Amino acid sequence: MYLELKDISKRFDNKEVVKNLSLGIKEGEILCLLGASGCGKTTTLKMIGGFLRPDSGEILLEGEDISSLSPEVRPVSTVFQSYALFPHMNVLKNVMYGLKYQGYSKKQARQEAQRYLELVDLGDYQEARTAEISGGQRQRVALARALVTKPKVLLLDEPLSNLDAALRVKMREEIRDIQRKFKITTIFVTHDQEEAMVVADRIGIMHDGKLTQVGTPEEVYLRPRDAYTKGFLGRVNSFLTPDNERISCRPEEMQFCEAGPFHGTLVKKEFLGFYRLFYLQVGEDEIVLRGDGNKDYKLGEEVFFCLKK
Amino acid sequence: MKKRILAILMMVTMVSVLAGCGKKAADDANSDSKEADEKSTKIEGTLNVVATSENYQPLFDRFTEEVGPEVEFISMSSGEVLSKLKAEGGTPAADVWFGGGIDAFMDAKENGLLEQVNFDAAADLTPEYKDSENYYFSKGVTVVGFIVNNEILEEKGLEAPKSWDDLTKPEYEGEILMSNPAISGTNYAVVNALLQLKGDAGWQYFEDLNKNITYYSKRGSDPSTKVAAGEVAIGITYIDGTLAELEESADVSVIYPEEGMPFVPEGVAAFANSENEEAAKAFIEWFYSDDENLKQLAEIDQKNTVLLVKPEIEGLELDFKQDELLTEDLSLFGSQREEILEKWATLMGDKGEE
Amino acid sequence: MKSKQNNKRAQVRSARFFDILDKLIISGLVILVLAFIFYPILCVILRGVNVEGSFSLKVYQEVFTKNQKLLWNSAYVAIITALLSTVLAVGIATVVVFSGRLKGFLMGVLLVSMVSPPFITSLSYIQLFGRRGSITHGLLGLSLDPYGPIGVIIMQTIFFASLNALLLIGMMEKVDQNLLQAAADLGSDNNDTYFQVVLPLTLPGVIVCFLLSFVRSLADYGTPVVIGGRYENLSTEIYMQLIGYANLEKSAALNTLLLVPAIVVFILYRLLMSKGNRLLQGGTPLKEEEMQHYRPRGLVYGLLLLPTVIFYGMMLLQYGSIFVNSFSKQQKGVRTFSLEPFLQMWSRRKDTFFRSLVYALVVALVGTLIGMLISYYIERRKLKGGKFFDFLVTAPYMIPGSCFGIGYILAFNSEPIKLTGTAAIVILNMIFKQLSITTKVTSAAFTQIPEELDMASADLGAKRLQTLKDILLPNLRSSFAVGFVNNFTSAMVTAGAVIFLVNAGQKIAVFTLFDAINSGKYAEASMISTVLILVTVLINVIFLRLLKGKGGESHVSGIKGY
Repeated sequence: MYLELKDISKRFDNKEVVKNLSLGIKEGEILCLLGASGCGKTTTLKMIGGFLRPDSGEILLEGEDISSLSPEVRPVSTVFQSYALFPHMNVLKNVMYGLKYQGYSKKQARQEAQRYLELVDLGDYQEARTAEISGGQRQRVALARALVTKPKVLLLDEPLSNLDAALRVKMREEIRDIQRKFKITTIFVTHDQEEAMVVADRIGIMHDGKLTQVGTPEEVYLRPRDAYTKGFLGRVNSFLTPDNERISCRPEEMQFCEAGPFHGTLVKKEFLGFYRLFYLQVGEDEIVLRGDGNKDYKLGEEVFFCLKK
Repeated sequence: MKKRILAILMMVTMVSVLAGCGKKAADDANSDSKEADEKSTKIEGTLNVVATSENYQPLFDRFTEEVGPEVEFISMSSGEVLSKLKAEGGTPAADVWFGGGIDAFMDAKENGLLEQVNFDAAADLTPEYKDSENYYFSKGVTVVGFIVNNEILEEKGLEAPKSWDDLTKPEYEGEILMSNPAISGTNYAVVNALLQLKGDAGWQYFEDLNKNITYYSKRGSDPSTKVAAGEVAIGITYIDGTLAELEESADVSVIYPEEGMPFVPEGVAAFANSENEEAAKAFIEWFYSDDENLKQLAEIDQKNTVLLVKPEIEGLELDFKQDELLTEDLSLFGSQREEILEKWATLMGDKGEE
Repeated sequence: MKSKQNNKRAQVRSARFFDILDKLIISGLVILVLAFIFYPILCVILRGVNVEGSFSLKVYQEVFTKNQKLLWNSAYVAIITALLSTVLAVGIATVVVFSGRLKGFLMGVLLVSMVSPPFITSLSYIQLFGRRGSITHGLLGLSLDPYGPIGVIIMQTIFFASLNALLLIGMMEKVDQNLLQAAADLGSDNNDTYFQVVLPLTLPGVIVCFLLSFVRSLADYGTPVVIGGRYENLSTEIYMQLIGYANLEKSAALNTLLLVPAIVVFILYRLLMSKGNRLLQGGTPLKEEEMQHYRPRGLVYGLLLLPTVIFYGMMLLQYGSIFVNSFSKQQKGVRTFSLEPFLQMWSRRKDTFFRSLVYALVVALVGTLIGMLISYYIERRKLKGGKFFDFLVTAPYMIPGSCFGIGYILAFNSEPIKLTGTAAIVILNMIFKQLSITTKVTSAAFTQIPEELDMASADLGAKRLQTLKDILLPNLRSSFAVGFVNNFTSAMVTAGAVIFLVNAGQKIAVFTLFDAINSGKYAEASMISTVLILVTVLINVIFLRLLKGKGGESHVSGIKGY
């Protein structure tokens, strides 16, 4: 493994936030740490970045323990949730800043920073003040600023949470592209499962300070190791059969069948263009089914459905 | 660009501070060598003087010219000087004390803060106005009288008071300003001298006077300036040339009370353990050894009371007859100070115990 | 291409240098504060319990038995002054904040009014409103007696209002515009918005003003000495004990008593300010033009406007009369134009102005730097004992100047640090007396700079001190400006602490002002004041211009004033 977390733990005021977490990241891959807020994912990221020191455990980068290195000497760079761009410097100066500490001359640093700004499509914004550019542009400045120092690992802390929905979709593609372009080992922290699925080579699900499962998006979605993971990633329909047997499965594993064997009352429906969502009341439970754009049902109607083969 | 200007501004400040220090050192070095060349009797160093006013520059300049040391001086009231001396714990920042009520000098001597200065000309000085052991001398006396604002008196239909006794007349209620005797050596002299004059009836007098006093100001110059400004009608004040200036600028008159004027000698002394002891002693000796100095002093002070200290200085004459002064036992000024001020404070409702 | 790895060794080496430098600065600051604040104050406290060489509480007994009236006098005047001055400041701040285009002018007057040389302002009020005041007597034919507690209350109310108003303006400007808009949107009229949104959000600041004025009133002796008349309180008694009776023990004991309210106020201040900053964090301030829409209306505004107009009127009269005095001379009660005061001043005092200027610049630069560094280590590095340290830094501001001055003489009159009679003791005293303003302003500004900036900078390879230099200081320009202006101004025009420290070789302009006043030369005193005011304002303006540039000011603003 390129980067390896071995059994790391962290507690704040007697509350254990990260519990014996072990995780390996391969060179050049992008791994998403996914979890609800408070699950310990940002704390984990901060420990990798060097802003927090683990109470126990090791962080190995290429086999070397880096857990005692302070952030300024650790070959790891972070893009912060707020981007943390320096408000008194223009875009170019922001990107140049880290190079100063790597022994670049001013001229070299300028050239290198300009090159990276071109790479993130901000060549024309060198002189702009950070307050004058858009959220997406700020995001890219932050990326360029982190990447220009040639870190071995790039850390992204909820990088899209400050953007609006449309931009979020666009930027996650861009991040993916940039990551591929630089082939940089990346850890991406998010609470948004869709984001994780799109961006990640592998996803690590965190819950309550522990890593519950690590795998490709398909693996964790299709073969969740436990109920929490299953519920957290996508929707789970759970209902009682007439034989009092509980069935839990994903909506896409179900379909409408004239013949049943199950049925429920249509309580709500949403038209979403090329498909519709139907919410059925089945006994005490509510489930959701996806239907194609053509077939419609009336509210209050009794509808039959079955599991896909 | 602006950053650079700021940096330059900072640099200039720093440099000028350094230069200031350097320059002083250079000056000292300069004057040192010059003195050494000129005259071997000249004394080196700087003399630090605490004076009662800023006006003595010409006198100090002459000292520098004739004897050598540069003089730096600052004005301070006697109370400030005493407090500072006590806080300094025996290492005074100044060398010579020039002016201020003699009672403070007595206090200072008592506390071992003064240096004995023996010199020949001391024998020519009036014994009552100097310390018998030569710890302090005086450079004249402050005499006390009244200043009245004629305009206000007229407006209120009042006669100007002629005597100390007049001041207690009920019609002057709220019209008299006097400085707190703890602050003002001048007004302390009034209290002490009138107590000596009136004997047992003295305290009663001040209690009566208290009824007419609007308040006791905490600065010595307030009575005269506030009368001139028309804030009050009558002030109990020192009398010197500055009052003549006030008479120019406002409709005020100076009154010499009938019973006589209280007075207090103005002290001169060298501080014990001062840095420039030699220069300090030289200054005192120089000052009294040449009548020209005393004449110049009389000119600066705008009064000739130095004649009381050293009678018969050619070309000087007293502005008043010596018998216009009250008879005072000056030795009591120091010894009774604490007791008198305490009693005064209690009776006159000072400290808020009205 | 260089990689981060390759540079590691060089970085570790420079890292070590910065670690050492960091430790040196911390220990330097601790030593400075202990030596130049803690030790002198300790000397004063010890002096108060040391009667003729042995420990005794006799002096305190005396104070509590004989001088109760003084305690009461101090307390009631301080409470009334604090109340009135705070209310006045709320009025001024409201009018200024919502004033739209007039704001620049109103702020300017307010800033100038901070430059108020001692005694002379009180004297100018006597001249205007006293028995023969040119307004009360000359215009209205009245003969009022301004001397007494009421005079003290009025004067202090006006003095303290400037600083209070500046503090409140700083807070009101930070009220989130969305809140005002939301309130308007919900149907609240401007007065409701003012009372239910603006005031509650600035309430911690309002209380801070009250506390600050309370302590300042307790410690102020200049005002009661000039216009107190027969009114006596703790601070005039301290003055009397020092100047009149040369009784160091008693004045030390009284000063120690004044430390008690200072400690209480300090603790409350810390609590309230952190609350205030929390209330106002993260908002988007309104633009000046938009502010006008939310101005309180009708009677409410009238009630706020009236005292403000009176205040501004008084300020103009006060500075006007000082100015007129300095260019005129009186002959038999008739005032004529004259350059005499100027010529007198110029020929005799000019050196003292240059000295004042140099001292004040040193104090402003060094003091502001030290203050900002202290605030950095307390707020950003969260050093252990930071709160106690912060209290030490605040203490000199809250106790009477004379006490701090005497403390310096007591502390530094012998080896190892013998400073009496030097310029250093004067400058150091000025620096440490005012330090807390800089640290308070900087601390407030730090809460506005996200800590992620520090982390980002560290992540990019900067050591903490490099982060301080490259990232934090540029965003603290406005605190630097406030610190500089305050330090410079107070070094130029306040004299309380240094009056005992100044020796013949260090005569500064404000000292000669004292001398002129004490010898009754009001015209010359006015001239000295005029020059002091002009020079101070001029330097401040030049400095602010230089600093303004195109810096990060617009992004991260510190509160103005306190």
